[in-house]
Amino acid sequence: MKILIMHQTIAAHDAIGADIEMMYHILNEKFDCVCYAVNAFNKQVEYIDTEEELVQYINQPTNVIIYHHSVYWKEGEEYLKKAKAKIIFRYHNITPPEFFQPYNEFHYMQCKLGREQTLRLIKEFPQAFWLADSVFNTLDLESVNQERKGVCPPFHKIEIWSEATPKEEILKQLLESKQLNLLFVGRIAPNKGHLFLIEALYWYCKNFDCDVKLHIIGKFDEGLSEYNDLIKGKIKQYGLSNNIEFIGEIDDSILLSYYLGCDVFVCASEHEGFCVPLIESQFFELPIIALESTAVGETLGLEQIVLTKSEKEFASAFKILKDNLRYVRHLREQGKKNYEDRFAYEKIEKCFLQFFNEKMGVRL
Amino acid sequence: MKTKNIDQMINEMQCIVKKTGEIDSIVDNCDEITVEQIYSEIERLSKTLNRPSGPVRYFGKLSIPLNNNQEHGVMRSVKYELRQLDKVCSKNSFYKNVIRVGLKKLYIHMSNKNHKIVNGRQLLQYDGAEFVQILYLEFFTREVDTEDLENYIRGLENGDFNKIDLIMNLAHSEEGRKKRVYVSSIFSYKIKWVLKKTFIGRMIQKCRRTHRELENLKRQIQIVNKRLEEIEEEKANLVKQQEEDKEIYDLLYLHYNEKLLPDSREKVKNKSKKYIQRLDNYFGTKEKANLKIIDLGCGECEWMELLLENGYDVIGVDSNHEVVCKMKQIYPQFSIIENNAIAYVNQAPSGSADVITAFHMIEHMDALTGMKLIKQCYRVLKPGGMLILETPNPANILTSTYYFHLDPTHVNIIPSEFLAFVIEECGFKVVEKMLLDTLNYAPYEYKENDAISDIMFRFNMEQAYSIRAVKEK
Repeated sequence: MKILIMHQTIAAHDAIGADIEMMYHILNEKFDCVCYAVNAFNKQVEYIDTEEELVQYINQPTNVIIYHHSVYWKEGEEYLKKAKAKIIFRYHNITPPEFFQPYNEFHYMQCKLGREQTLRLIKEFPQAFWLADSVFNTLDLESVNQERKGVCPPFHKIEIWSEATPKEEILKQLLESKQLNLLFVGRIAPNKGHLFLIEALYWYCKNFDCDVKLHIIGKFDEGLSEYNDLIKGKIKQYGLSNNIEFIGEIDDSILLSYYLGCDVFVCASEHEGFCVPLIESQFFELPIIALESTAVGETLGLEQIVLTKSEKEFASAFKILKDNLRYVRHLREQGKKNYEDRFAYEKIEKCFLQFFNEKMGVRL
Repeated sequence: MKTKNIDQMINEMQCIVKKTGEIDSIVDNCDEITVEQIYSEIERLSKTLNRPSGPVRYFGKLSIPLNNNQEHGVMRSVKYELRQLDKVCSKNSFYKNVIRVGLKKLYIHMSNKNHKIVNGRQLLQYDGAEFVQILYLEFFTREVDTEDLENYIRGLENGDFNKIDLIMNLAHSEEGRKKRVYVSSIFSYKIKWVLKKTFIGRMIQKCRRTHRELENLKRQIQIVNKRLEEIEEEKANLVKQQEEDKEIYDLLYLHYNEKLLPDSREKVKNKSKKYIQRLDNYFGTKEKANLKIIDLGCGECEWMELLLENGYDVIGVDSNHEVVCKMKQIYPQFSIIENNAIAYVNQAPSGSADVITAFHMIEHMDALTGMKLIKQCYRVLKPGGMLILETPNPANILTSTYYFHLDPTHVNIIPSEFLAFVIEECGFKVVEKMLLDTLNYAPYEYKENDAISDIMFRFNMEQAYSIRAVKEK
């Protein structure tokens, strides 16, 4: 049996790329495992070079295709239609298109087509298995037979890249600063709730003090210029230029510095299939204040702060955590416990293997 | 869960007992934290927050205070006194049933949380453009238009209105009312502003404005006076400069004729005899002494002497002080007037002269002045009067390129065709043009079909010309 992992893009530094990479290493221990991607950016996995080879893989009934579905991929669907191998859909969820509709027609269409493709894949491949990142994601898979679906958190590489050396100057600056350092990690996209975070910060500054800074790690998308302008306009309107920092694309050392040096992780994302930065924060024992939405609460676990969409609640939460170390300690402990109980590498590996063994009858 | 450091716990407990003297607080401290506790605190704190308005930072500086509802101490006292007053007045049924009802509605309206309350006292800390911009951001959450900003700044600088006026006017403007702007902490200023709106207030404002305008006017008059003084001074300097220049030129002419001109006095007189004949012929029967002749630019008075010798009477006019003094000394019987030729003819009565002559005078003027002179000569001459002008001939190459420039006061060498044209345009009839005084610089035998002949002629031809014109009757 050979295993083929497919996704349109396999990157080195994103959640799906990490999931594929770790999955590849586990499967490669016992099987011949390869990957296929149109955009093959991750150099840690082995790829099929030619289409002929791909066709050979997918036509073999004894082989298994793990198709990672997170984006509309027309060619991918066509390959699957020709495939005779067993198919496992690794479902990462697709952002609802409504988020992009006001800003970018292309993104909107991609999301819309992607969600339509999900329904098609469910219908056209009734024999396939579905492995979702979260229970929340399984809500999109209602029509899939219970015996053919399962939940397994995405693999991550936190325990690997956390061994990197943090950037000393950034870490020192954060630790020595007297202000409250908030952190958000996520690309600049409409579903990530940046505008809400700015509002919450504004409420905080106007009601309490200005000793606060929100550090946002994430790339701007040039295709979302209107959204980007909205963010910048809001910051300017509220006079928050000194209180918000956009960091852009970074390496492991810098990311580590921010996780270690900041005080609170904030998340106002309105749509998440899992949200890897939440478990990253829990690993680094950063207390979290998050917006209750989609899979966020599920990922965070118990004894964590999950609030409704209220700027004043968020602002109050910032203040309370700033002034109460006991609360911070509690949240950190609970968060770390959540990580260790549910998202440590061994736990995810066990879950993944269990799915293969019990659902698919494949011993790994 | 992590295990707690026992020693640290004991230390913390000891601190708390020392601080509060209560054992209960230790017990509280040892309780497990729950997330519900944190939620309750968040909920409790969030209820105390105020809806923010205006930016956090203006121009890099922190904005006015976070809690716009903080009242000034005076205001709190005033409110307390008012409440006491209300208690006393409520004993009166009319007050209680009628006046108080209205006042209460007004109070509720004013303290309605939907109002955008802005701390006026803090606004007053800012000045100029910054003040106006912050005002707009606080009141209307938008930036002020450039034109309005300029008008407001100008108004504030000129004293047309002050900051309180602007705050109150904007708060009570249509946009301010729509946004339900209420300005707190400037009660006393508000009273003054309201009083300004009364008749007396308006009169006082009017008086103040008038006073300011008067002060402005005084300042402007001072500026104008100062400028006038400067102009007078410049004028005096200019006149002085011109007089100094004239002095130099006048001195130049004292010995010019004797040292630079080749012809003697007698020779000059002889050359002018042809004009005596023409006068004799033209005026024929008229009594010579009764003819009024004016010689403009009489210089060393050779022509005047000739006229007098021939029974004519003449007035000479020259602007050169040195030469006039010299001539008056030598010829005390001559009527010589020290004046500028154009100034003299300008003030001469119309139709008062029979003959006007100007020998080698017109080339000392620019073209426009020359034309004005000829026009004035026409006016001054009687019908039938005669004008004779003599001037260097630019057709002679040496005259136009060299000899003309021997006199630095020469300004304009005039071709004869042009002078004749101007004279006729001024109304005269040109009766004669004469070429005068052949140079004969390089004697030459002129031949037909000789290309050099014309060139040589230009070196040898007449150096001057005259035009005789009459003002027809």
